Amino acid sequence: MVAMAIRQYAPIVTVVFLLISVWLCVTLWKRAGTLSRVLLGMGLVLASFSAVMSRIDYFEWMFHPLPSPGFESAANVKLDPQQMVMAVRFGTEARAYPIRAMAYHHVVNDVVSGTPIVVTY
Amino acid sequence: MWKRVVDGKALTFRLAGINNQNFLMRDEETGTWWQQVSGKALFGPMQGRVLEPVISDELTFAQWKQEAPQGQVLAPSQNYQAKYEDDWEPEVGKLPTTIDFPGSGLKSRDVILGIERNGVSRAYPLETVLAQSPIQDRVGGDPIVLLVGPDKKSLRAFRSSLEAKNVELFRTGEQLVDSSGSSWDFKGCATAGPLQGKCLEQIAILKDYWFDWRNYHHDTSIYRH
Repeated sequence: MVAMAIRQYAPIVTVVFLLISVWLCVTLWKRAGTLSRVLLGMGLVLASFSAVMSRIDYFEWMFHPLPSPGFESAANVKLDPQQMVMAVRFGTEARAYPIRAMAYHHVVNDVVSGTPIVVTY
Repeated sequence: MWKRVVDGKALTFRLAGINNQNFLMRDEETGTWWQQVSGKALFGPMQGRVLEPVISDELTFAQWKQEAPQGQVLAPSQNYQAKYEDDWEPEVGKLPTTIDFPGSGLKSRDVILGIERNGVSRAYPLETVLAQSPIQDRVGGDPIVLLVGPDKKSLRAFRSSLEAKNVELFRTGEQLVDSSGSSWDFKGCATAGPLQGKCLEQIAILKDYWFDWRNYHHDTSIYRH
């Protein structure tokens, strides 16, 4: 729950820190020595990085979601007969999701016979 | 696999994080975080809600195609299919597990079939199921049967009762029969005999690593025969 709270407030908090870093850079730059400028610069980079990363979920890029799943008929698809699939049936519609693809994409949002489902692996 | 409609709204899920080799997903519509293994919303506007599970099978493509020749198969993504790995499972199998359960008699990466009925959980070691199918058992008060398909790889489980009477399946040679003399197929339907045309209700099984099943089902028993 602490981790979730941090996630929830991170975007605001990191923006605040970013603004503080920018302000510090601007006000202190002229009178700062080289070392201080380096530190100010690094602080600004770090604050920017945190602000950006708190808005992005890295996992969401790392594991590529399948935006709109396409399908092939059982007769046409080229799949090894021994390959494992996750299979679902709604009414007369039968769909198979090859495990090899699911192990890569992990999440597929689909609609089978009018029923929206999420396939996970 | 889950139905993704909650309160009449269809949710679109994205992978959002990994927790001990299970994952968390987030829906785009409300930003709620959901747990893959249980379908529960852990954090966000829909916290506390649970997705409705969908029964799915793990079958060989050949078995599935034989049963559903008109079916559809997820097409590989044009952009990513070169990255699909055949050795995904052996590679994952080498990863250390963060949780171990010594003394359980099973190794963390042993594959089990997990069944939960009426709040009671039981794990069936895959090797045992493959060797002893059909396996008749009772979980949470329900009589159940686990079946391995003719290809010796596809797996299903059913509630083994019809009209309040227990159905006990056993193997004679390659045939699956019951005490009424009816023959049964891998779909859980009687193809001949007095019960011909009747089908058993399919139930959900989870093929999982022992450590993961045990982590989410603290009181699970293990089938040992």
